[in-house]
Amino acid sequence: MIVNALFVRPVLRRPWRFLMTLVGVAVGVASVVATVLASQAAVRSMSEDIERLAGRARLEIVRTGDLDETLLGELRPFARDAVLVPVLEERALAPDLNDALRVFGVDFFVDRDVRELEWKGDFTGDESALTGLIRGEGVLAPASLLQGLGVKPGGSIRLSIRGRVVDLPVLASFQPEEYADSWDRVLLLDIAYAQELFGRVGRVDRIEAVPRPGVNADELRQRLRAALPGEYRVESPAQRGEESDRMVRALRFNLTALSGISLLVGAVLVGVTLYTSVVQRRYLVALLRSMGASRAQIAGAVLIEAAAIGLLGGVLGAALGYAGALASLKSIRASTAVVLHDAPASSIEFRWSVAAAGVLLGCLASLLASVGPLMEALRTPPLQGLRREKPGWMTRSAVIRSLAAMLIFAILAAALAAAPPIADLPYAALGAGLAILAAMIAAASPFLDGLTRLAHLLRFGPHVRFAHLAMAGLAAGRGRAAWAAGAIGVSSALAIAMAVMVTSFRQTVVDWTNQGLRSDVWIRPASGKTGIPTGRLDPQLVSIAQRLFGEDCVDPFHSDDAYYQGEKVTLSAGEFRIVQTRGTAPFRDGRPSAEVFAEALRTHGAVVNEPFAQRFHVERGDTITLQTRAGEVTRKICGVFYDYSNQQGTVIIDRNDFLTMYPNDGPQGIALFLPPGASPAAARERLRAELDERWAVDILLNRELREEILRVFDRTFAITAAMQAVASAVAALTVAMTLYTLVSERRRDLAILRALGASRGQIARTILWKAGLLGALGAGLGLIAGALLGVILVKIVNLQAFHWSLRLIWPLSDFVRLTAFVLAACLIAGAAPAWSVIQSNQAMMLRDDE
Amino acid sequence: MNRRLILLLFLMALAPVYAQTGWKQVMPGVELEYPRDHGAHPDTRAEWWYFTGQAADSSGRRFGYQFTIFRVGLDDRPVTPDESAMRARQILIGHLAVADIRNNRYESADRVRRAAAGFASAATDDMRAWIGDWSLARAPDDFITLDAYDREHDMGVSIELHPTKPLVYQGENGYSQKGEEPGNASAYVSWTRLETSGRLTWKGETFEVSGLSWFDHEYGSSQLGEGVSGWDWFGLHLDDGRDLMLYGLRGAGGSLAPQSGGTLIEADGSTRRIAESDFILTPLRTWTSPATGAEYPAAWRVEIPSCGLNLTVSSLVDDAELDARRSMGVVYWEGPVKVEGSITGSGYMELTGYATSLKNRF
Repeated sequence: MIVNALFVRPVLRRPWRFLMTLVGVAVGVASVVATVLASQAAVRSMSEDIERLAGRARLEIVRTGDLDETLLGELRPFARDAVLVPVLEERALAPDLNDALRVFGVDFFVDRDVRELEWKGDFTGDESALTGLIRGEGVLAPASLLQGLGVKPGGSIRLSIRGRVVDLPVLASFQPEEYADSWDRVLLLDIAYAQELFGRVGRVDRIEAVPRPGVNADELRQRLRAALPGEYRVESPAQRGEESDRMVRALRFNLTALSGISLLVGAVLVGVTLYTSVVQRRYLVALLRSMGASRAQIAGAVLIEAAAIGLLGGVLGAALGYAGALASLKSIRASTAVVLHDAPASSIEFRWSVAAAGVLLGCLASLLASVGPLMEALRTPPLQGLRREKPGWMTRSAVIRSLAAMLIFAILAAALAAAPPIADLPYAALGAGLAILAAMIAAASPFLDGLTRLAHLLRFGPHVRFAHLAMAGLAAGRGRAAWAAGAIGVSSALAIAMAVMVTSFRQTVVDWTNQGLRSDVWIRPASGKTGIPTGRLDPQLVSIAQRLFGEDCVDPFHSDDAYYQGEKVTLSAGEFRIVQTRGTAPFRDGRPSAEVFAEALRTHGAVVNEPFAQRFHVERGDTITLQTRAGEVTRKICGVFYDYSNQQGTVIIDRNDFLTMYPNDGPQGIALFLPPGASPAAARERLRAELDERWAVDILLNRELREEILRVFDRTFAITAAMQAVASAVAALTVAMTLYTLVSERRRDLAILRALGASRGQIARTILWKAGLLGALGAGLGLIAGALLGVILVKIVNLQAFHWSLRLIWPLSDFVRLTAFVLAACLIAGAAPAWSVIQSNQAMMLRDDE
Repeated sequence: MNRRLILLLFLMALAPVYAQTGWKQVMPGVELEYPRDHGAHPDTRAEWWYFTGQAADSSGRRFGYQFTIFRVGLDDRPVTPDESAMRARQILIGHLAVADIRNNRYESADRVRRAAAGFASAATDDMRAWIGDWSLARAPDDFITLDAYDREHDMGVSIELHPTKPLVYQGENGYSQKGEEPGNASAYVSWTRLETSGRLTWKGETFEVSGLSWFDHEYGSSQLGEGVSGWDWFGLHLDDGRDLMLYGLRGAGGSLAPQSGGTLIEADGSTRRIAESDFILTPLRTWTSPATGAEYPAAWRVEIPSCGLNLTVSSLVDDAELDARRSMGVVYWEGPVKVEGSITGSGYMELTGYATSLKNRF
């Protein structure tokens, strides 16, 4: 009966209110589920991906850079105990997909026993697909990819390899024995063919080892280690994945932190909606209690409601979250591709575990959030509940308690912000962010109390009498109102902080590109939809450019993996001779770029980017030794330049220096510095005319390159914009729920006002004032907390997680826009209850049993 | 001469038709020069070094073994300047089998690798070929070492062979014609009797063994004629010191094709050719493979009246089917046999074309 009176009947009478509560829970759960699913898909464990692709290979022999294929001969004695499989791994752009494919050069004789793939095609007869594959006449492609492209065996796949257009015949297809989307974007071809296509004759990336039956992998690893020179490493495939995982760790951390924030916002919303739901029935609770209902019966009814809301909201949220993940995957993938170019291209998989976790989260949040309201309902003496009044003002001790809590949280935030990173990740800084939010929530109640006292003291004129009434209403329901202001504040603060970070980052990148990118024309391998160029260019392009524009105008840029102190970094090279006179890279110590490059050229030195200097605590004048595939390279650091294109650290040396170690290396891009007065557009046309349809490269003018960089940037941060939208929506929803509660709690008062002659418009204005004041308080608190959070994100989190130092920019227009948005959202949210009141029958309102 | 037809057909099938024209044909009057011609002939399409034998330890425990390296030319187009040394222009295929005669057990293994970059190699100046850790090599004094072990089946040989008779030039001084055209031929030589000693590994045990082996080396670029469904080959060491090589090509309806024949090698190394009309092969007993369902003649009556031979040749281990479908797509029977009748002896027998059709295998 109690459940019926407290839960079933109200739901049946006012189903939309129940639905709104459900939506509140669902939005919270959905934001968590969406972020978790999308970030899982975008930054799926690289180890897992690599292990799937490695099949039965348990060990692999690698070293910095790549391996000489003759190593296979030296490993002959090990053929008794292991099948040794050389692999060349590359990437190439498929223009028809506008996306990159991974290309594995393998030995088909042995690969069939390594990777668990079901080959499909004509493998019989004189012209069998296998013969063609072995002879390097075509590729083996995943059936799913062929289906997507509408290509059948016998057709071809067009790729852009080193800037050249190549049509690769498809000889047969394969299907992973156990479906794994890791394989969806992988082409298999003969290793010799791959070496020739990618200009890497004589090289392999790794030699995988499949221990023969009865051979212990650990013993084999030890024997291989003992037999190989020290520069070689014998690892499990997962270890290569771990290295990649380390690279995306910061990104994964930040995405997880975003999920956490979604959870926080969601939990706040659940709390507010449940609080609202319970408080709305305080009168009924008091009535039932005065009629003899036990506390346990009341508690049971409230908890059943909380569980039902949690369960239904959780299910709805999981479904919404799945849809949200599908919508946001592209943005998250773009973010990943910036950090790790060959991040696995995966799709959103519906995971029951995540869905179940979402539902559980909804239930838990509901039950936890019901504790506070429940305690209040149970503690409220029946008479007070029936009076529907609460004490109006905070006591002095309550104010002191709240302000003390705020102060403690603020001190905690300051202490955490000053703490160093933990395991290279900004856990403490994020803790500081949470402490700031907690301080803000603690401040909400005394601030609201202060605001209402202020209103009480001020003598309003007749035209703003309704503001006074609104203040009184807020004071009467201060508990709820303070929570609502806190919730609005959390949402606003997150939106403001994200705006500060994105604006600061974007402006820093704009400044950096304006200052650092001075080449007139930029040639690079064709890029796909990720905007990340794929692979390298054919060295022949350098000759073509030099022939067309002269050697003094052409600055090819090379890049390769290297290791410093055991960590992966990038070793790059440019023509210092040209950069010295034409480049304008921004250096941290403010020295002119020409001076730094002249010194580097003279002393055979190097320049490093800021992430390198930050990560390894080195500076100008230090000497560093890198492990490269050409051996050890020791150079003195002549300067540290700002760079936002690479977070793992880059060391740049002169190109001539580089080419002595890596002869015939294909550049990753070619910058053209034209003579003064020359037209870049005309130069591009000349280049295009020279490079006919056999080539597929991007030729960008300076402006286009800078726009492209910003486009990639914006895409990378698209997910942040989505989070901003969710935060704002949550803020609006929170306001609507709270106002509804505050209004319905004072329905009888409003009805009396109507009976005393107040017009409907006057009453509606009272409610809208209430909404506006609540919104203003929330937005004000959010603005302060958001600005502080923004500073933490820009100055601490980015530096600790990505080693990027950013200029702090206050996006004032965003502040105004966001505040206006929150206020507008609050007013719109207030309009609904206002409308409901002015439409209500006075008599009904006066005898309303609720 | 045509003993490894099924394998040759497979090897030919691997090389696309258009590439056939560039391969060097073996023509009448081929001049074989040793030791150079013990080595590989990469300008021809197919080649093999084929060892079979029986050996026993000091307690009399007897084993049979087969170790073969096949070479196949896949691509005869001119080498381009930027070509990778890893190109699979040539591939090497290894077959290893051991038969435990006392326990009637048999195991086989096969490997296929490109002849490049540490996978496999066959020297062109002498007999020296390897696939991973499987190898065969001839020393200047004609001592040949075979070394092959398969961990999965725990079996292998590490043995030394030494010929006790001169090299037999099959056909006309090593020119072994296989079809009507002069180029439809192979160069084919054999050491029919090699003293064998060394270690044989079998299921966790290593045995010091000694015995007799048979070696064939053959290369060519010829496509064999249509209508041959398989063949039955015998390489027998007779106890009077003679050796007998005999093969029957089965044409349509199971009749012997006219190219069937053989060679009798006398104890002193002199040879006598045997024509198709000189012998009669009669199956006596069959064995059905549980793995493939193929029915193989496991015992034969071999009659060569002109040589005074009336022999019964019976398999010592019935289940000697070598299933190389995964690597090569072929299945054949190759196992140790005993010889009874007008004279006793031992040897090896090969039966092909009894399992499913070769051409649709790969």
